[in-house]
Amino acid sequence: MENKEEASVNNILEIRGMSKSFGSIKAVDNVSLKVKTGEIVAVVGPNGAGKSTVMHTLSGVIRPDQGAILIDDSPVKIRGPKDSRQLGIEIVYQNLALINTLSVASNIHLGREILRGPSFLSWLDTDEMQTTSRRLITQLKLNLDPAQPVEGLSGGQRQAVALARAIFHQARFAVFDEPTAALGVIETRATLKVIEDFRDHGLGVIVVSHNLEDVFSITDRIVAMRAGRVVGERLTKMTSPDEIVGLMLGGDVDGENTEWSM
Amino acid sequence: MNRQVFLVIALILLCTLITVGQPRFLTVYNLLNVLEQAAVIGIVSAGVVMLMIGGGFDLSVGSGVVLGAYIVATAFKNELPTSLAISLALLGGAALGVVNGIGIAHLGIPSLIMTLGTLYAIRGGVLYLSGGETIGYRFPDVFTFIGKGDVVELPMPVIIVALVYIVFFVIMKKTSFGQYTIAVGTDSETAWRAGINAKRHLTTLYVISGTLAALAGIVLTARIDAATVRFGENYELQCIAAVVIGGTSLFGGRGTLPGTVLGVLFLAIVHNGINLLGVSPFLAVFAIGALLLFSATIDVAATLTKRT
Repeated sequence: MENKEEASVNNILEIRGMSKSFGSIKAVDNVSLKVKTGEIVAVVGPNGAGKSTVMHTLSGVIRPDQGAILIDDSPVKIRGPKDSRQLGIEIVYQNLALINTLSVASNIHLGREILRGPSFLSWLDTDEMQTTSRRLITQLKLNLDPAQPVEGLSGGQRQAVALARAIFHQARFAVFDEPTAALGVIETRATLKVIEDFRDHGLGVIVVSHNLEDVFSITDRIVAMRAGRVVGERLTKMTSPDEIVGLMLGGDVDGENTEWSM
Repeated sequence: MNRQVFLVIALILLCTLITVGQPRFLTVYNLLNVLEQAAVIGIVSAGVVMLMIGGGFDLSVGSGVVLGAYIVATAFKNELPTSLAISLALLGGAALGVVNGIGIAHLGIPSLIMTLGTLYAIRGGVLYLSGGETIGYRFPDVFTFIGKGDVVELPMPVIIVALVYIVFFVIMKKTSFGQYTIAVGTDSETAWRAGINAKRHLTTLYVISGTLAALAGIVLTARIDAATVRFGENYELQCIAAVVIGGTSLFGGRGTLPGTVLGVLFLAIVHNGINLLGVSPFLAVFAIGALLLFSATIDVAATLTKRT
Protein backbone atom coordinates (compact mmCIF):
# COMPACT_ATOMS: atom_id res chain seq x y z
CA MET A 1 0.00 0.00 0.00
CA GLU A 2 0.92 3.63 -0.43
CA ASN A 3 2.03 4.14 3.12
CA LYS A 4 4.29 1.13 3.21
CA GLU A 5 6.08 2.47 0.14
CA GLU A 6 6.54 5.82 1.81
CA ALA A 7 8.05 4.07 4.77
CA SER A 8 10.62 2.32 2.65
CA VAL A 9 11.80 5.71 1.34
CA ASN A 10 12.76 6.56 4.93
CA ASN A 11 12.22 10.26 5.36
CA ILE A 12 14.12 11.81 8.25
CA LEU A 13 12.96 14.63 10.52
CA GLU A 14 15.86 16.21 12.35
CA ILE A 15 16.35 18.89 14.97
CA ARG A 16 19.91 20.18 14.78
CA GLY A 17 21.75 22.27 17.36
CA MET A 18 18.61 23.86 18.75
CA SER A 19 18.72 26.39 21.62
CA LYS A 20 15.98 28.46 23.20
CA SER A 21 16.05 30.82 26.17
CA PHE A 22 13.18 32.35 28.07
CA GLY A 23 14.62 35.46 29.65
CA SER A 24 17.77 34.37 31.46
CA ILE A 25 16.73 30.69 31.57
CA LYS A 26 18.18 28.46 28.92
CA ALA A 27 15.31 26.01 28.38
CA VAL A 28 16.93 24.18 25.47
CA ASP A 29 20.67 24.03 24.98
CA ASN A 30 22.12 22.77 21.71
CA VAL A 31 19.70 19.85 21.31
CA SER A 32 19.88 17.54 18.31
CA LEU A 33 17.66 14.57 17.59
CA LYS A 34 16.31 12.62 14.66
CA VAL A 35 13.40 10.38 13.79
CA LYS A 36 12.96 8.41 10.61
CA THR A 37 9.71 7.12 9.17
CA GLY A 38 8.63 3.78 10.59
CA GLU A 39 10.17 4.16 14.04
CA ILE A 40 9.06 5.44 17.42
CA VAL A 41 11.48 7.63 19.34
CA ALA A 42 10.82 8.61 22.93
CA VAL A 43 12.04 11.86 24.41
CA VAL A 44 12.21 11.42 28.17
CA GLY A 45 13.31 13.61 31.03
CA PRO A 46 12.15 15.15 34.29
CA ASN A 47 9.89 18.20 34.36
CA GLY A 48 11.71 21.24 33.05
CA ALA A 49 14.15 19.18 30.99
CA GLY A 50 13.07 21.08 27.86
CA LYS A 51 11.23 18.24 26.13
CA SER A 52 8.04 20.17 25.55
CA THR A 53 9.89 23.26 24.37
CA VAL A 54 11.61 21.19 21.69
CA MET A 55 8.29 19.68 20.61
CA HIS A 56 6.62 23.09 20.49
CA THR A 57 9.17 24.20 17.91
CA LEU A 58 7.81 21.44 15.66
CA SER A 59 4.31 22.90 15.84
CA GLY A 60 5.56 26.46 15.44
CA VAL A 61 4.23 27.57 18.81
CA ILE A 62 7.80 28.33 19.89
CA ARG A 63 10.52 29.65 17.58
CA PRO A 64 14.02 28.51 18.46
CA ASP A 65 16.77 31.09 19.05
CA GLN A 66 19.31 28.92 17.31
CA GLY A 67 19.41 25.70 15.37
CA ALA A 68 17.35 24.27 12.59
CA ILE A 69 14.62 21.80 11.76
CA LEU A 70 15.44 19.67 8.74
CA ILE A 71 13.48 17.19 6.68
CA ASP A 72 15.67 14.89 4.61
CA ASP A 73 18.59 17.26 5.22
CA SER A 74 16.82 20.36 3.89
CA PRO A 75 16.10 23.09 6.45
CA VAL A 76 12.40 23.95 6.83
CA LYS A 77 10.64 26.91 8.42
CA ILE A 78 7.78 26.31 10.84
CA ARG A 79 5.91 29.48 11.79
CA GLY A 80 2.66 27.89 12.89
CA PRO A 81 0.54 24.72 12.88
CA LYS A 82 -0.32 25.28 9.22
CA ASP A 83 3.34 25.04 8.23
CA SER A 84 4.03 21.88 10.19
CA ARG A 85 0.96 20.21 8.73
CA GLN A 86 2.04 21.16 5.22
CA LEU A 87 5.43 19.61 5.91
CA GLY A 88 3.73 16.37 6.93
CA ILE A 89 4.24 16.73 10.66
CA GLU A 90 1.12 15.85 12.63
CA ILE A 91 1.05 17.08 16.21
CA VAL A 92 -1.28 14.86 18.26
CA TYR A 93 -2.43 16.71 21.35
CA GLN A 94 -3.87 14.99 24.36
CA ASN A 95 -7.38 16.25 23.54
CA LEU A 96 -6.57 15.03 19.99
CA ALA A 97 -7.51 18.48 18.62
CA LEU A 98 -10.92 17.31 17.47
CA ILE A 99 -13.90 19.64 17.16
CA ASN A 100 -16.71 17.97 19.11
CA THR A 101 -19.55 19.67 17.28
CA LEU A 102 -18.37 18.55 13.83
CA SER A 103 -18.73 15.14 12.20
CA VAL A 104 -16.00 12.54 11.80
CA ALA A 105 -15.66 13.43 8.10
CA SER A 106 -15.50 17.17 8.85
CA ASN A 107 -12.84 16.63 11.48
CA ILE A 108 -10.71 14.54 9.16
CA HIS A 109 -10.93 17.27 6.52
CA LEU A 110 -10.83 20.33 8.79
CA GLY A 111 -8.52 22.92 7.26
CA ARG A 112 -8.28 20.84 4.06
CA GLU A 113 -11.84 20.59 2.88
CA ILE A 114 -12.59 19.08 -0.49
CA LEU A 115 -14.23 21.88 -2.47
CA ARG A 116 -16.07 22.24 -5.72
CA GLY A 117 -16.64 25.23 -7.92
CA PRO A 118 -14.37 28.19 -8.70
CA SER A 119 -12.00 29.22 -5.91
CA PHE A 120 -13.74 32.54 -5.15
CA LEU A 121 -17.10 30.78 -4.79
CA SER A 122 -16.42 27.22 -3.78
CA TRP A 123 -18.63 24.97 -1.77
CA LEU A 124 -18.02 21.84 0.27
CA ASP A 125 -18.12 18.56 -1.58
CA THR A 126 -19.79 16.75 1.30
CA ASP A 127 -20.30 13.52 -0.66
CA GLU A 128 -16.66 13.32 -1.69
CA MET A 129 -15.52 13.99 1.89
CA GLN A 130 -17.79 11.22 3.15
CA THR A 131 -16.41 8.86 0.51
CA THR A 132 -12.79 9.74 1.31
CA SER A 133 -13.47 9.28 5.00
CA ARG A 134 -15.18 5.95 4.46
CA ARG A 135 -12.24 4.74 2.35
CA LEU A 136 -9.78 5.75 5.08
CA ILE A 137 -11.88 4.14 7.77
CA THR A 138 -12.02 0.90 5.80
CA GLN A 139 -8.29 1.03 5.06
CA LEU A 140 -7.55 1.45 8.77
CA LYS A 141 -10.08 -1.29 9.65
CA LEU A 142 -12.00 1.06 11.93
CA ASN A 143 -15.63 0.99 12.87
CA LEU A 144 -16.88 4.54 12.41
CA ASP A 145 -19.68 6.37 10.65
CA PRO A 146 -18.25 9.42 8.83
CA ALA A 147 -21.45 11.44 9.37
CA GLN A 148 -21.44 10.91 13.14
CA PRO A 149 -20.54 13.89 15.35
CA VAL A 150 -17.28 13.36 17.22
CA GLU A 151 -18.79 14.20 20.62
CA GLY A 152 -20.58 10.86 20.89
CA LEU A 153 -17.43 8.80 20.33
CA SER A 154 -15.42 6.78 22.85
CA GLY A 155 -11.81 7.63 23.62
CA GLY A 156 -10.53 4.89 21.32
CA GLN A 157 -12.77 5.97 18.46
CA ARG A 158 -11.58 9.56 18.85
CA GLN A 159 -7.99 8.41 18.55
CA ALA A 160 -8.95 6.46 15.45
CA VAL A 161 -10.29 9.70 13.95
CA ALA A 162 -6.99 11.42 14.75
CA LEU A 163 -5.13 8.59 13.02
CA ALA A 164 -7.40 8.76 9.97
CA ARG A 165 -6.83 12.49 9.80
CA ALA A 166 -3.05 12.09 9.93
CA ILE A 167 -3.18 9.53 7.12
CA PHE A 168 -5.47 11.83 5.12
CA HIS A 169 -2.98 14.68 5.55
CA GLN A 170 -0.29 12.31 4.27
CA ALA A 171 1.66 12.99 7.42
CA ARG A 172 5.11 11.43 7.52
CA PHE A 173 5.79 12.29 11.16
CA ALA A 174 3.68 12.43 14.28
CA VAL A 175 4.48 14.04 17.61
CA PHE A 176 2.72 12.96 20.80
CA ASP A 177 3.15 15.19 23.85
CA GLU A 178 2.57 13.23 27.09
CA PRO A 179 -0.09 11.05 25.44
CA THR A 180 -0.82 8.88 28.47
CA ALA A 181 -0.59 11.42 31.28
CA ALA A 182 -3.86 11.45 33.23
CA LEU A 183 -5.15 8.29 31.52
CA GLY A 184 -6.36 5.11 33.21
CA VAL A 185 -4.85 1.68 32.54
CA ILE A 186 -7.22 0.68 29.76
CA GLU A 187 -7.09 4.05 27.99
CA THR A 188 -3.31 4.01 28.24
CA ARG A 189 -3.15 0.61 26.57
CA ALA A 190 -5.46 1.83 23.77
CA THR A 191 -3.39 4.97 23.28
CA LEU A 192 -0.14 3.05 23.05
CA LYS A 193 -1.77 0.81 20.46
CA VAL A 194 -2.73 3.88 18.40
CA ILE A 195 0.82 5.20 18.58
CA GLU A 196 2.04 1.85 17.24
CA ASP A 197 -0.62 2.10 14.52
CA PHE A 198 0.88 5.42 13.43
CA ARG A 199 4.26 3.73 13.09
CA ASP A 200 2.79 0.69 11.36
CA HIS A 201 1.25 3.03 8.80
CA GLY A 202 4.73 4.24 8.04
CA LEU A 203 4.98 7.40 10.11
CA GLY A 204 7.98 8.44 12.13
CA VAL A 205 6.76 9.04 15.67
CA ILE A 206 8.19 11.15 18.49
CA VAL A 207 6.66 10.52 21.91
CA VAL A 208 7.35 12.92 24.74
CA SER A 209 6.73 11.16 28.01
CA HIS A 210 7.99 10.67 31.49
CA ASN A 211 6.30 7.34 31.91
CA LEU A 212 9.15 4.88 31.36
CA GLU A 213 6.92 1.81 31.40
CA ASP A 214 5.00 3.17 28.38
CA VAL A 215 8.21 4.24 26.71
CA PHE A 216 9.79 0.82 27.02
CA SER A 217 6.70 -0.98 25.76
CA ILE A 218 6.47 0.74 22.37
CA THR A 219 9.58 2.69 21.38
CA ASP A 220 12.55 1.78 19.23
CA ARG A 221 14.87 4.42 20.60
CA ILE A 222 15.03 6.62 23.69
CA VAL A 223 16.51 10.11 23.93
CA ALA A 224 17.05 11.32 27.50
CA MET A 225 17.06 15.03 28.32
CA ARG A 226 18.03 16.91 31.45
CA ALA A 227 18.24 20.65 32.11
CA GLY A 228 17.74 21.54 28.48
CA ARG A 229 20.34 19.14 27.08
CA VAL A 230 20.36 15.72 25.50
CA VAL A 231 22.22 13.56 28.01
CA GLY A 232 22.03 10.24 26.28
CA GLU A 233 20.48 8.13 23.59
CA ARG A 234 19.88 4.38 23.62
CA LEU A 235 18.21 1.72 21.55
CA THR A 236 15.25 0.59 23.63
CA LYS A 237 16.14 -3.10 23.41
CA MET A 238 19.76 -2.43 24.44
CA THR A 239 19.01 -0.47 27.61
CA SER A 240 17.12 -0.73 30.88
CA PRO A 241 14.82 1.59 32.81
CA ASP A 242 17.55 1.89 35.45
CA GLU A 243 20.05 3.18 32.95
CA ILE A 244 17.56 5.72 31.55
CA VAL A 245 16.63 6.93 35.04
CA GLY A 246 20.34 7.31 35.74
CA LEU A 247 20.71 9.48 32.64
CA MET A 248 17.65 11.57 33.49
CA LEU A 249 18.79 12.20 37.02
CA GLY A 250 22.34 12.99 36.05
CA GLY A 251 24.68 10.03 36.04
CA ASP A 252 27.10 9.84 33.15
CA VAL A 253 26.60 12.79 30.88
CA ASP A 254 27.41 11.75 27.35
CA GLY A 255 25.35 14.40 25.61
CA GLU A 256 28.37 15.68 23.69
CA ASN A 257 29.03 12.49 21.79
CA THR A 258 25.62 11.10 21.16
CA GLU A 259 25.62 8.12 18.85
CA TRP A 260 23.02 8.06 16.14
CA SER A 261 21.66 4.61 16.01
CA MET A 262 19.88 4.87 12.72
CA MET B 1 -36.83 17.15 22.17
CA ASN B 2 -35.37 19.06 19.26
CA ARG B 3 -35.34 22.77 20.06
CA GLN B 4 -36.78 23.83 16.72
CA VAL B 5 -39.72 21.42 16.99
CA PHE B 6 -40.34 22.72 20.49
CA LEU B 7 -40.29 26.33 19.24
CA VAL B 8 -42.68 25.58 16.38
CA ILE B 9 -45.13 23.98 18.80
CA ALA B 10 -44.76 26.92 21.19
CA LEU B 11 -45.36 29.35 18.32
CA ILE B 12 -48.51 27.50 17.22
CA LEU B 13 -49.80 27.52 20.81
CA LEU B 14 -49.03 31.21 21.15
CA CYS B 15 -50.77 32.07 17.88
CA THR B 16 -53.82 30.00 18.85
CA LEU B 17 -54.06 31.74 22.22
CA ILE B 18 -53.83 35.20 20.68
CA THR B 19 -56.35 34.35 17.94
CA VAL B 20 -58.86 33.12 20.52
CA GLY B 21 -58.54 36.45 22.37
CA GLN B 22 -58.43 38.60 19.25
CA PRO B 23 -59.38 37.02 15.89
CA ARG B 24 -57.87 40.04 14.09
CA PHE B 25 -54.45 38.47 14.76
CA LEU B 26 -54.98 35.90 12.04
CA THR B 27 -55.40 38.30 9.12
CA VAL B 28 -52.99 38.65 6.23
CA TYR B 29 -52.66 42.34 7.05
CA ASN B 30 -51.65 41.72 10.66
CA LEU B 31 -49.34 38.81 9.88
CA LEU B 32 -47.50 40.84 7.25
CA ASN B 33 -47.24 43.59 9.83
CA VAL B 34 -45.66 41.12 12.28
CA LEU B 35 -43.19 39.99 9.61
CA GLU B 36 -42.29 43.56 8.77
CA GLN B 37 -41.72 44.37 12.45
CA ALA B 38 -39.60 41.26 12.78
CA ALA B 39 -37.58 41.94 9.62
CA VAL B 40 -35.25 44.63 10.96
CA ILE B 41 -34.44 42.74 14.18
CA GLY B 42 -34.13 39.63 12.01
CA ILE B 43 -31.44 41.17 9.81
CA VAL B 44 -29.38 42.16 12.86
CA SER B 45 -29.95 38.77 14.51
CA ALA B 46 -28.51 36.94 11.49
CA GLY B 47 -25.16 38.62 12.17
CA VAL B 48 -25.47 38.02 15.90
CA VAL B 49 -26.16 34.29 15.48
CA MET B 50 -23.22 33.79 13.08
CA LEU B 51 -21.01 35.54 15.60
CA MET B 52 -22.32 33.57 18.56
CA ILE B 53 -21.83 30.24 16.75
CA GLY B 54 -18.26 31.45 16.21
CA GLY B 55 -17.84 32.10 19.94
CA GLY B 56 -18.24 35.89 19.82
CA PHE B 57 -20.63 38.29 21.45
CA ASP B 58 -21.72 41.71 20.21
CA LEU B 59 -23.49 44.36 22.28
CA SER B 60 -22.69 47.10 19.76
CA VAL B 61 -25.15 46.08 17.03
CA GLY B 62 -27.68 48.75 18.09
CA SER B 63 -25.01 51.36 17.47
CA GLY B 64 -24.26 49.72 14.13
CA VAL B 65 -27.91 50.31 13.20
CA VAL B 66 -27.87 54.00 14.10
CA LEU B 67 -24.44 54.41 12.46
CA GLY B 68 -25.66 52.90 9.18
CA ALA B 69 -28.80 55.05 9.28
CA TYR B 70 -26.92 58.32 9.85
CA ILE B 71 -24.26 57.59 7.25
CA VAL B 72 -26.83 56.79 4.56
CA ALA B 73 -29.03 59.81 5.45
CA THR B 74 -26.05 62.19 5.58
CA ALA B 75 -24.76 60.85 2.27
CA PHE B 76 -28.12 61.53 0.58
CA LYS B 77 -28.25 64.98 2.11
CA ASN B 78 -24.91 65.65 0.47
CA GLU B 79 -26.42 64.45 -2.80
CA LEU B 80 -24.31 61.37 -3.23
CA PRO B 81 -25.78 58.73 -5.55
CA THR B 82 -27.86 55.94 -3.98
CA SER B 83 -25.35 53.14 -4.58
CA LEU B 84 -22.53 55.14 -2.99
CA ALA B 85 -24.69 56.19 -0.01
CA ILE B 86 -25.61 52.57 0.70
CA SER B 87 -22.05 51.34 0.21
CA LEU B 88 -20.68 53.95 2.61
CA ALA B 89 -23.22 52.97 5.28
CA LEU B 90 -22.37 49.28 4.91
CA LEU B 91 -18.66 50.12 5.08
CA GLY B 92 -19.31 52.06 8.28
CA GLY B 93 -20.88 48.97 9.83
CA ALA B 94 -17.99 46.84 8.57
CA ALA B 95 -15.51 49.28 10.11
CA LEU B 96 -17.26 48.95 13.46
CA GLY B 97 -16.82 45.18 13.09
CA VAL B 98 -13.12 45.56 12.28
CA VAL B 99 -12.60 47.65 15.43
CA ASN B 100 -14.49 45.09 17.56
CA GLY B 101 -12.62 42.20 15.94
CA ILE B 102 -9.16 43.71 16.42
CA GLY B 103 -9.91 44.58 20.05
CA ILE B 104 -11.35 41.17 20.88
CA ALA B 105 -9.57 38.64 18.68
CA HIS B 106 -6.16 40.31 18.39
CA LEU B 107 -5.75 42.38 21.57
CA GLY B 108 -7.70 40.01 23.80
CA ILE B 109 -10.15 42.52 25.27
CA PRO B 110 -13.20 40.61 26.63
CA SER B 111 -16.01 40.83 24.06
CA LEU B 112 -18.52 42.10 26.62
CA ILE B 113 -16.35 45.10 27.50
CA MET B 114 -15.12 45.81 23.98
CA THR B 115 -18.58 45.88 22.42
CA LEU B 116 -20.07 47.72 25.40
CA GLY B 117 -17.39 50.34 24.72
CA THR B 118 -18.19 50.60 21.01
CA LEU B 119 -21.93 50.57 21.84
CA TYR B 120 -21.51 53.74 23.89
CA ALA B 121 -18.79 55.34 21.79
CA ILE B 122 -20.58 54.99 18.45
CA ARG B 123 -23.99 56.05 19.74
CA GLY B 124 -22.36 58.93 21.60
CA GLY B 125 -20.46 59.93 18.48
CA VAL B 126 -23.61 59.89 16.34
CA LEU B 127 -25.50 61.91 18.98
CA TYR B 128 -22.71 64.47 19.17
CA LEU B 129 -22.22 64.88 15.42
CA SER B 130 -25.96 65.11 14.72
CA GLY B 131 -26.76 67.18 17.80
CA GLY B 132 -29.42 64.56 18.45
CA GLU B 133 -31.35 65.83 15.40
CA THR B 134 -33.37 63.56 13.17
CA ILE B 135 -32.17 63.70 9.57
CA GLY B 136 -35.21 63.79 7.34
CA TYR B 137 -34.78 64.10 3.61
CA ARG B 138 -36.69 63.59 0.40
CA PHE B 139 -34.93 60.35 -0.42
CA PRO B 140 -35.11 59.05 -4.00
CA ASP B 141 -37.87 56.51 -4.62
CA VAL B 142 -35.40 53.81 -5.54
CA PHE B 143 -34.01 54.08 -1.99
CA THR B 144 -37.29 54.26 -0.07
CA PHE B 145 -38.45 51.21 -2.03
CA ILE B 146 -36.01 49.21 0.15
CA GLY B 147 -38.08 50.07 3.21
CA LYS B 148 -41.57 50.64 1.85
CA GLY B 149 -41.88 48.78 -1.42
CA ASP B 150 -43.73 45.55 -2.05
CA VAL B 151 -42.90 42.74 -4.41
CA VAL B 152 -45.89 40.48 -5.04
CA GLU B 153 -47.58 41.62 -1.81
CA LEU B 154 -44.42 40.98 0.22
CA PRO B 155 -42.81 43.99 1.91
CA MET B 156 -39.21 44.58 0.80
CA PRO B 157 -37.75 44.31 4.35
CA VAL B 158 -39.21 40.80 4.56
CA ILE B 159 -37.65 39.88 1.22
CA ILE B 160 -34.30 41.31 2.34
CA VAL B 161 -34.31 39.42 5.62
CA ALA B 162 -35.29 36.20 3.82
CA LEU B 163 -32.39 36.63 1.39
CA VAL B 164 -29.97 37.31 4.26
CA TYR B 165 -31.01 34.10 6.02
CA ILE B 166 -30.86 32.00 2.85
CA VAL B 167 -27.37 33.27 2.02
CA PHE B 168 -26.00 32.65 5.52
CA PHE B 169 -27.78 29.31 5.80
CA VAL B 170 -26.01 28.15 2.64
CA ILE B 171 -22.70 29.56 3.90
CA MET B 172 -23.04 27.65 7.17
CA LYS B 173 -24.05 24.37 5.53
CA LYS B 174 -22.05 24.37 2.35
CA THR B 175 -18.77 26.24 2.75
CA SER B 176 -15.48 25.97 4.62
CA PHE B 177 -16.40 29.31 6.18
CA GLY B 178 -19.33 27.63 7.91
CA GLN B 179 -17.17 24.73 9.12
CA TYR B 180 -14.53 27.13 10.43
CA THR B 181 -17.17 29.19 12.23
CA ILE B 182 -18.33 26.10 14.13
CA ALA B 183 -14.73 25.00 14.75
CA VAL B 184 -13.58 28.40 16.04
CA GLY B 185 -16.68 28.71 18.21
CA THR B 186 -16.27 25.24 19.68
CA ASP B 187 -12.56 25.49 20.44
CA SER B 188 -10.59 28.35 18.99
CA GLU B 189 -7.21 26.92 20.08
CA THR B 190 -7.89 23.57 18.44
CA ALA B 191 -9.16 25.26 15.30
CA TRP B 192 -5.92 27.21 15.14
CA ARG B 193 -3.94 24.00 15.51
CA ALA B 194 -5.87 22.59 12.56
CA GLY B 195 -4.45 25.44 10.49
CA ILE B 196 -7.41 27.82 10.66
CA ASN B 197 -6.62 31.49 11.19
CA ALA B 198 -8.95 31.70 14.18
CA LYS B 199 -8.33 35.38 15.02
CA ARG B 200 -8.96 36.54 11.50
CA HIS B 201 -12.05 34.36 11.29
CA LEU B 202 -13.52 35.83 14.47
CA THR B 203 -12.77 39.34 13.18
CA THR B 204 -14.61 38.52 9.95
CA LEU B 205 -17.63 37.42 12.00
CA TYR B 206 -17.63 40.79 13.82
CA VAL B 207 -17.46 42.50 10.42
CA ILE B 208 -20.49 40.50 9.24
CA SER B 209 -22.35 41.43 12.41
CA GLY B 210 -21.52 45.15 12.04
CA THR B 211 -22.38 45.19 8.33
CA LEU B 212 -25.77 43.53 8.84
CA ALA B 213 -26.53 46.01 11.66
CA ALA B 214 -25.79 48.87 9.24
CA LEU B 215 -28.03 47.19 6.63
CA ALA B 216 -30.84 47.15 9.19
CA GLY B 217 -30.22 50.88 9.75
CA ILE B 218 -30.50 51.49 6.01
CA VAL B 219 -33.80 49.59 5.81
CA LEU B 220 -35.21 51.53 8.80
CA THR B 221 -34.20 54.86 7.26
CA ALA B 222 -35.78 53.92 3.94
CA ARG B 223 -38.97 52.88 5.70
CA ILE B 224 -39.62 56.07 7.65
CA ASP B 225 -37.83 58.58 5.37
CA ALA B 226 -35.53 59.66 8.18
CA ALA B 227 -32.71 58.64 10.47
CA THR B 228 -33.32 59.22 14.18
CA VAL B 229 -31.04 58.72 17.15
CA ARG B 230 -33.55 56.31 18.67
CA PHE B 231 -32.78 53.72 15.95
CA GLY B 232 -31.37 50.49 17.25
CA GLU B 233 -31.93 51.18 20.93
CA ASN B 234 -32.03 47.91 22.90
CA TYR B 235 -31.50 45.92 19.71
CA GLU B 236 -28.50 44.14 21.18
CA LEU B 237 -30.59 42.61 23.92
CA GLN B 238 -33.54 41.75 21.70
CA CYS B 239 -31.24 40.09 19.17
CA ILE B 240 -29.34 38.09 21.76
CA ALA B 241 -32.68 37.07 23.30
CA ALA B 242 -33.99 35.93 19.90
CA VAL B 243 -30.79 34.03 19.13
CA VAL B 244 -30.67 32.26 22.50
CA ILE B 245 -34.39 31.44 22.44
CA GLY B 246 -33.69 30.01 18.97
CA GLY B 247 -31.38 27.43 20.54
CA THR B 248 -27.94 28.91 19.94
CA SER B 249 -25.45 28.09 22.67
CA LEU B 250 -23.98 30.82 24.83
CA PHE B 251 -20.74 28.86 24.77
CA GLY B 252 -20.26 28.93 21.00
CA GLY B 253 -20.06 26.19 18.40
CA ARG B 254 -23.75 25.35 18.35
CA GLY B 255 -26.60 27.24 16.81
CA THR B 256 -28.74 27.52 13.72
CA LEU B 257 -30.15 30.20 11.48
CA PRO B 258 -33.62 28.56 11.24
CA GLY B 259 -33.74 28.50 15.06
CA THR B 260 -32.97 32.21 15.09
CA VAL B 261 -35.78 32.89 12.62
CA LEU B 262 -38.14 31.14 15.04
CA GLY B 263 -36.72 33.10 17.97
CA VAL B 264 -37.20 36.42 16.15
CA LEU B 265 -40.76 35.46 15.15
CA PHE B 266 -41.50 34.44 18.71
CA LEU B 267 -40.50 37.83 20.10
CA ALA B 268 -42.40 39.70 17.37
CA ILE B 269 -45.57 37.66 17.95
CA VAL B 270 -45.40 38.16 21.71
CA HIS B 271 -45.21 41.93 21.15
CA ASN B 272 -47.96 41.89 18.56
CA GLY B 273 -50.24 39.68 20.66
CA ILE B 274 -49.87 41.88 23.69
CA ASN B 275 -50.74 44.95 21.60
CA LEU B 276 -53.79 43.27 20.11
CA LEU B 277 -55.05 41.84 23.38
CA GLY B 278 -54.57 45.13 25.19
CA VAL B 279 -52.53 43.42 27.89
CA SER B 280 -49.96 45.53 29.72
CA PRO B 281 -46.80 45.79 27.61
CA PHE B 282 -44.83 45.27 30.81
CA LEU B 283 -46.08 41.71 30.70
CA ALA B 284 -44.38 41.28 27.31
CA VAL B 285 -41.08 42.36 28.82
CA PHE B 286 -41.61 39.85 31.62
CA ALA B 287 -42.59 37.05 29.20
CA ILE B 288 -39.48 37.58 27.08
CA GLY B 289 -37.27 37.60 30.15
CA ALA B 290 -38.81 34.38 31.44
CA LEU B 291 -38.43 32.67 28.06
CA LEU B 292 -34.82 33.79 27.79
CA LEU B 293 -34.01 32.39 31.22
CA PHE B 294 -35.73 29.14 30.28
CA SER B 295 -33.69 28.85 27.06
CA ALA B 296 -30.42 29.69 28.80
CA THR B 297 -31.14 27.05 31.45
CA ILE B 298 -31.72 24.40 28.79
CA ASP B 299 -28.46 25.40 27.10
CA VAL B 300 -26.42 25.23 30.31
CA ALA B 301 -28.01 21.89 31.28
CA ALA B 302 -27.28 20.43 27.82
CA THR B 303 -23.67 21.61 27.96
CA LEU B 304 -23.17 20.15 31.43
CA THR B 305 -24.44 16.71 30.41
CA LYS B 306 -22.17 16.73 27.35
CA ARG B 307 -19.11 17.59 29.43
CA THR B 308 -19.46 14.71 31.82
